[in-house]
Amino acid sequence: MRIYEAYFPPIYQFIRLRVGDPHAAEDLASDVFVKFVTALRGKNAPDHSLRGWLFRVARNTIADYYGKEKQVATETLEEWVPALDDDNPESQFMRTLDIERARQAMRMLAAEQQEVLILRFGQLLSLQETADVMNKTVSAVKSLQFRAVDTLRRILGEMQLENQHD
Amino acid sequence: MIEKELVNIFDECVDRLAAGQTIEDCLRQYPQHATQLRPMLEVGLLTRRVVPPTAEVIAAQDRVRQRVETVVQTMPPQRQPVRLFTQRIATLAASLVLVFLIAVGGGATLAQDSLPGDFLYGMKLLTENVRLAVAPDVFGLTAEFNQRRVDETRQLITFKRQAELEFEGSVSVIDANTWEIAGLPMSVPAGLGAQVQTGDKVRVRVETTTNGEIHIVEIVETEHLAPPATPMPPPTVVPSHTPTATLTVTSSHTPAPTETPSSTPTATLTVTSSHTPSHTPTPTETPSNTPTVTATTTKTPTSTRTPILLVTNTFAPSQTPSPTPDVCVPQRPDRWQTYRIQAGDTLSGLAASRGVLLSRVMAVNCLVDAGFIVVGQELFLPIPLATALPPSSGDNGQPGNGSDNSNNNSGNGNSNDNGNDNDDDHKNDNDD
Repeated sequence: MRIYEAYFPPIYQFIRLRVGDPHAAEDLASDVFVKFVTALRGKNAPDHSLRGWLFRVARNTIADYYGKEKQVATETLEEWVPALDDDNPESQFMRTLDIERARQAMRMLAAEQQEVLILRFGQLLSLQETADVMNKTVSAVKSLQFRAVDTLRRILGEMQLENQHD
Repeated sequence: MIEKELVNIFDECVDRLAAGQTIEDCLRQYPQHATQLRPMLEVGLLTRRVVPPTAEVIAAQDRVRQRVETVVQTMPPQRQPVRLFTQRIATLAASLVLVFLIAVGGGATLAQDSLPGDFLYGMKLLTENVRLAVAPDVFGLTAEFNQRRVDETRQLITFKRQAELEFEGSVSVIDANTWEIAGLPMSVPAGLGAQVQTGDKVRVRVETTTNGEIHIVEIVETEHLAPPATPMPPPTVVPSHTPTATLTVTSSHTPAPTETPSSTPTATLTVTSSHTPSHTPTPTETPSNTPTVTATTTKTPTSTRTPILLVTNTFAPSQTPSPTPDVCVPQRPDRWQTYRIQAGDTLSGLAASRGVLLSRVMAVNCLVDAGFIVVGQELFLPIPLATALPPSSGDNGQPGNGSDNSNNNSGNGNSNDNGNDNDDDHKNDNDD
């Protein structure tokens, strides 16, 4: 029932995965919700899909941020604790590694590819919703997500190889 | 074209994964593509795991909430109650504001301080309905909300604002036509509540007047409670609680069924005499006009209805009246009548229901902004299409809030010409 509680985590996650710096991510998330409140008071309030609206605003906010910042956001070094769906302690370490590696690999992708992965896999948006958020056609999103995953797979494969050489 | 097919199959599998199926589920359908699809779907699932730590998200969520809350509070107050964006999104937007404001806490506080007629009041009621819908302790909440209505009534008479609302309470005093319910003195029209006795618990719909009085409009429900007058023991009154949701809706949204034929027919027609008479309708925002308010630049003194700043600001009639030349004066066209804006009204809706062009309504009433009307404001409108001719009691009043006595519509038909005194007054409603 509570819009803020319901939508903050996905919006923040989306921003955070695109923007390495947690402080910047927080600022941007804050911008998104301020825009939301402002829009509600104005004439351009979201009129059908609130989730899509928020993601779209978040996406534009990130684009503005990168436009302004120019330089790549500083990466933080803290370990991410991945969300595990089983409690097998032996695999946990490996999984943590995998996920950390996946995160690094994702950041090597083009912005749109990162976005489509986060929206389609991470946030479980439908194809249509994703298309709306990204202002693309459904078939464009289809091929984008395909290429994104394919590229990511290749990057991960290369990282694997490098690791074996070390 | 193989590529194209693969792209489609991949997409289908992504949807299936999102729906909770496993990679194997999907590959079983397309064994010929399994070798290509499997690693891709695995990578896809891996990305789902890439999320920031929960603790970080929660901490950020709290901090951002506070920041947004601060912003909301420093936003210039919504100037008037019924401004409702475009009709298309009005309802959605309002409920979104509401729910968001609940979430943001601070906004809910603003709404909680609102009174009937304020912009945020609808949210307050909606908030309550939402809470009632999800509350584990409905009775406690119902009692709490009822107490709010009582408190609001008290505030309304303090501020001498006209509104209608409903609450329940014990009748502690019955003295001729004056009762005391829930600690509030109110007048009872003759013929109402003959069977009510001291100690009874009643649900009443009341109207507060601009004289600071409370009139009972209707006794909605009576419960004879002989034993000691415990003021409102909530859990004992199961049946009477169900309609609470309706109550709130009623008081805020009913498109105003014409009031019951009470013996005090007229008090509603005019808006406060506490009103500052006039000032320039130019929309310049002069900070000097807001004596007690903090940074926000408001055009507050233009009308008594400044929802959010109500408490600090309502009675700051510090302005010197400056008669303005060249103002548009609403003239009631033949067969039009005076209508008082209700919560939920939109100008376009009103115009439509009367089969008249919005632009005509605006021209006649000297309105410049179709989105800008205020609850309680009076406008000239044609008689509603559905209704027959009998003119309502407000037939001959002047629009705007300029009428300066509360009984000027008693003439109820013809010859009640009080138009001269408010040539510049009714501008107050319409400026922006």
